[in-house]
Amino acid sequence: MLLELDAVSAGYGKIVVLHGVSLAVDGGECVAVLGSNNAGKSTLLRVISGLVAGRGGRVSFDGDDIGPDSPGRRVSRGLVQVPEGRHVFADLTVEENLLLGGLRLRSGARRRARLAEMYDTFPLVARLRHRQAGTLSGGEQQLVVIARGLMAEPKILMLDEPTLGLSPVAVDGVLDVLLGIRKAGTTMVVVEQNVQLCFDLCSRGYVLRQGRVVMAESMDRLSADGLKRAYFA
Amino acid sequence: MLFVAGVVQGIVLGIILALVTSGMTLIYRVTGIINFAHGALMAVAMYLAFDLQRSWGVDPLLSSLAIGPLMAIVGWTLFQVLIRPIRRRHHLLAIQVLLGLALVIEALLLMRYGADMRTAENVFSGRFTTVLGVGIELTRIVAFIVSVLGLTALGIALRRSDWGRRLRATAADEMAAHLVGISVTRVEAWTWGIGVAILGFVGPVLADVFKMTPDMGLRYTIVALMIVIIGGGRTMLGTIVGGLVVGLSETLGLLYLPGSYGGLMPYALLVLVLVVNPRATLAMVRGR
Repeated sequence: MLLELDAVSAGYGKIVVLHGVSLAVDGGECVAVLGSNNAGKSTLLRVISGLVAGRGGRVSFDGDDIGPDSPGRRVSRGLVQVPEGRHVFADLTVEENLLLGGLRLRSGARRRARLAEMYDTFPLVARLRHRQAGTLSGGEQQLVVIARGLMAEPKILMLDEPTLGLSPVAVDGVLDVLLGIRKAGTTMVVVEQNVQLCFDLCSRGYVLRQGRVVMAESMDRLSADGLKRAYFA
Repeated sequence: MLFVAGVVQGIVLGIILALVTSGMTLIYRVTGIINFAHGALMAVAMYLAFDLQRSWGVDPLLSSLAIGPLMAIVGWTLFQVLIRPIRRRHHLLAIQVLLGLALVIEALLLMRYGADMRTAENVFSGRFTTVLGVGIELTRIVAFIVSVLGLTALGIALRRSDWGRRLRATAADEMAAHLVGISVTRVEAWTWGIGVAILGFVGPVLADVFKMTPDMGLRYTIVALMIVIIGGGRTMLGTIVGGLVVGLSETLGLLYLPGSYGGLMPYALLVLVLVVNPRATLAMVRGR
């Protein structure tokens, strides 16, 4: 397994959000994490990327226990998260945002080459490269943060609510991009409220409720009925 | 002619003050903390240059090359020892700690050097030159040139280098900075190092432009803080504009207003800025 969580708990202050969550992601897979608001989906990603410290259990990546690693160290291992709410570096240009995404690639030449690849993959981003990222529309910013994440040549790309708050047209644009990334063989973990997008994109899914995994199935077996029970039961 | 003299002197002073302030702007922007020991640390750099000259006859222009790196270490250490443990706590705590440090520095300077006004002369001291027909001390012009070079170098480094991009990214969005693999703590430590190093480079050069007294620190902290507020506290360009506003208003005020009322001009302008644009300050109180 590329990424493995074993009975991981986490929370903020006195509040415990995750209660013993176990999850595994194999190389080349796309795994969806589903669940209603406050189910703990974003906290789960934050524990994996190191923004929130785990309080028990074990997170391993590529066979190593990464529990003690800082977020920066995890990025250099190839574990890259695209945060919810876009979080572009607003004062910086689109190109500067992308260059920062590629800090993991130590050599400047490799970073430039990767930048050129990104501009090929994202023609819209290429056109916007000299704009200040904060002045872009929501859909454009989402593409920029996805491209910024890909700049690191991630072994796993984790996306937190990539379509939240976007217009229907922009959602389609993001879905196209994600399907392209999937086709290229990048391992992905997607947290998303838009269940249809998960069905289109992922092969397996985990359903979280109140910080616990209540279902773990292949997407075609996560029927609409099963999901309804998981969300509302 | 008097007006031209005022403008030339004001621009020279303004640009010098902008470089003095740039370190405070950097530290504020990245860590959200106003360094209330800023002026006191500049006083330390100036007195060091004074000491080196008195003991070994080293010209301050030369000793600044050693005092700059030394002050970088001082700034880095300050962050690690005093600021890092409290930086996530209430922002008034950091202000208290730094104000306390400023008072300690002032007392130590007073013990070692006494209350007399000092200067450390450099190779250009005592000479005058004319700019646009205005007579001006050569040391001021040297300090002006150093400031222009310093601000330019800083601006280019912030725009074009990875170091600058890391710094601006951390200032813009700390969480996203973590997620692209930036070590935010390291960026903060570096920022303190460089913010204080600037004082180490420019302080000795100014040791014959500004007069040294042990209590000068707080005065220059206030001047720098005014410049940060007037300039908006976000960009180097804002800092330069703030420096020019303060420099010009002080020299022109002293020329045209009776007695020493002119010296109050920058403070009056600060009040005006706060009244006209209170949101700028509000944003600063909330941090970043």
